[in-house]
Amino acid sequence: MKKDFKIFCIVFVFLLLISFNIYADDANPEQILKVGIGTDIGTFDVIKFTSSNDMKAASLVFETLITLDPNDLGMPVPLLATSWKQINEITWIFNLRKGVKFIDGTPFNAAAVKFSLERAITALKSSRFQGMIKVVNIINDYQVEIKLKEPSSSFFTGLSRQTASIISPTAVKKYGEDWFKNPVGTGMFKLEEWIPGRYVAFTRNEDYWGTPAKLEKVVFYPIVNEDTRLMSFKSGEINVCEDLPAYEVPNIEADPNLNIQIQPQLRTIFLTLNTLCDTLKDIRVRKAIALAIDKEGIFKYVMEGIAPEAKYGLFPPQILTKDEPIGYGYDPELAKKLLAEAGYADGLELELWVPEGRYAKGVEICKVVQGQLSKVGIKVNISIMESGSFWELTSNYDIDKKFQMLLIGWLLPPDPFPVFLVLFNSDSNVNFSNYRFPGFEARNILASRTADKDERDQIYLDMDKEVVEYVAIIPIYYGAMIYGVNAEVQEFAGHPMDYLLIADTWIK
Amino acid sequence: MFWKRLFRSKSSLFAIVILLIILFVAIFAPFLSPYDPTEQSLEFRRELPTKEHPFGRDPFGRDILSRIIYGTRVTFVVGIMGALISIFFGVIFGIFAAYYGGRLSSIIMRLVDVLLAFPYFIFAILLVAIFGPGLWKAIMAIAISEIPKVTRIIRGATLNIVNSEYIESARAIGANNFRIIFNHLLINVSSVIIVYFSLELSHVILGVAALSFLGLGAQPPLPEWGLMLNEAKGYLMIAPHMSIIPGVFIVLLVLSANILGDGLRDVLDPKLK
Repeated sequence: MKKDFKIFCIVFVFLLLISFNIYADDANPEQILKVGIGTDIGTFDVIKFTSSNDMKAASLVFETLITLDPNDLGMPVPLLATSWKQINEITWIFNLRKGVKFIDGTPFNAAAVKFSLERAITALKSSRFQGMIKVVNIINDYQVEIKLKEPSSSFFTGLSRQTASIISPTAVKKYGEDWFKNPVGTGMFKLEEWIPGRYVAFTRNEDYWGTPAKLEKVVFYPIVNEDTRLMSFKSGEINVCEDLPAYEVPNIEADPNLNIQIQPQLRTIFLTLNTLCDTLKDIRVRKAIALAIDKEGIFKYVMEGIAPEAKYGLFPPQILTKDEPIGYGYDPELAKKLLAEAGYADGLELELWVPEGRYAKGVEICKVVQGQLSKVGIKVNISIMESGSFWELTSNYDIDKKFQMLLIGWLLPPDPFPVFLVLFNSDSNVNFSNYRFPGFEARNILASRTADKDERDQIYLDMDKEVVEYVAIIPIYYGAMIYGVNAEVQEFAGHPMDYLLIADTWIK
Repeated sequence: MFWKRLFRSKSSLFAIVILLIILFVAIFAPFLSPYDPTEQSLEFRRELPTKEHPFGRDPFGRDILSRIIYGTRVTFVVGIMGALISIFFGVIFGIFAAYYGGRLSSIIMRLVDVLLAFPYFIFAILLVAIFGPGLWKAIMAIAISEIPKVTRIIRGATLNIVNSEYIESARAIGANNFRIIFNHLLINVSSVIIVYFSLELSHVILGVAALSFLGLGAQPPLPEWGLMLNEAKGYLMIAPHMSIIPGVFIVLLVLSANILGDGLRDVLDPKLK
């Protein structure tokens, strides 16, 4: 027995000593950023993105010709293109950066740009690629001419989005169908390992053309349950937590080792109403619904005062400046009156669908809406669906849609044209409101051709007002991403379009 | 006579009292409940227990005590309907399989084996995927997945007596099959049925609460206890009472039904132990 005990003690002390070495030397901390995100990455294939998290991951390995200054979203900033010149209404010439290589050694040049952009246009059926590009012509190795189908004010916005990432033509040919998990780009990081459901790991691109990143490694951990993600963050397993639950903000701020960063995002969460279905086709019914929802209450009590109430219509003031609120306020008495006028004095029944886990507090908002509408006699049945099935069931071209109300969120590029194009167009598969007015669509195109920004914005403003007053949509809140950031992480920021700005981030 | 024996066991007595109290609450819910269980008061969300709200309020400001009280109705309906369905089909399958034997028995038992292959959870997801979530679908899912167990028990119990002398004599007199089944077999396995009804009650209640917790059963704003757990789980750190209270009641009800079932089994048919 005594001998066994001695051996045990020796082994124990040995293990103890080893364990002290597992902790990284504090004087030289590992430069690893561990980010907890809400939903898993679906693909790195830029023309098949399934969510903004895919774009977030893509932004680490790919680059676009230009990017948008986060503090002035109308301003394009050179990235892979160094300068550009407008030749006529529909033609632009871009000068490309020299000396850039993809991580597989392929040189970055005009051929790669032509390949990437034309691949994006031909592959997408709906008008999601907001570039309206007709063709890309190679002038020489470092100059391309881009011709648009028609004049478009959202061209630069389209070029800045990850769908317009420049990808390596050789890699696409080489990997074929496996391309979606073998991204080859010019970005600051490259994909090291991707285990679906567990993590996506990136390492620094040592051959990056510009100033290399300070971080050696970035890892995304998809943790769907927000409490689990919060616990991971608090325990230090991850050093950045996305979509931190709002009620935890005071606790985190009180902790000296943890910080909160709130980044307003260009994403609006809103209800869509199927304006052609039997129950909702009377505008008085829709107005009643809008009047019965207490948006300020939702802002205060569900969003805990963090994500602002969507007082200004679909587009937040950062995109379209507005002086006064758009839409209907909170007046349940008027709502009841309107319902009675429309013949629903005895109440009516409605279905509300929402995708689970996709939008911060989405399900809670639906339950609050259910409670508020019941006070004016409207019985709401909520269907909480798995995200994939939700989009499958709601994205179609039919006029005869099977749904009535949806709660969705939409990431908004700084230019309204593409949003109006996809959300309110007869030939769009995501026209959830069944909004079919040719005059509206024509105005959208007219606005995109208007060179003068103020004139253009006025048209868009009128259109925004129109869809809100028609109650095709009821905007609820403007997105604000709550990042939990460990105090050791320096110079971390989020972009309003929901990707990470980590070029200068380092770990203290 | 049998009541006296049942009451001799303290735990069974306790279980019966609890169940009767909950039944009473379920029947008189509108009179006992201090507030409307679906009325939201967002400014007071997650309120801890106070004098006016002895169980506090849920994440939408609804009074938890009222939701527990009305929840007894939901839970009772769930339990009784679910148990009835599983017992009803289990008895039919079991008795027929035992009585007719041969090919019919094989067919029935293999069908039952197919059902047994589905864990109730998977079966519930299947139903939900096809028909959408809902309380009744959850009840059906659980009840159907419990049928195999009941079938086997009933078949076993029936087999014990199907070849006994008095059944043979009944047949000899000329009693037709139905008469034999209903008058003789059924009566004799009735004690088994009663015991299993109580046990199924507890399983169904627990199963439906679990499915509702996952969002596959009861839908908002129904005050079902499992759904209350689902709504409260995001706030365990700051408002645990919203989870603890419905949880305690689920445990209480399920435990009582279980104990009663055990007690009944002890009293009615010690051979079954």
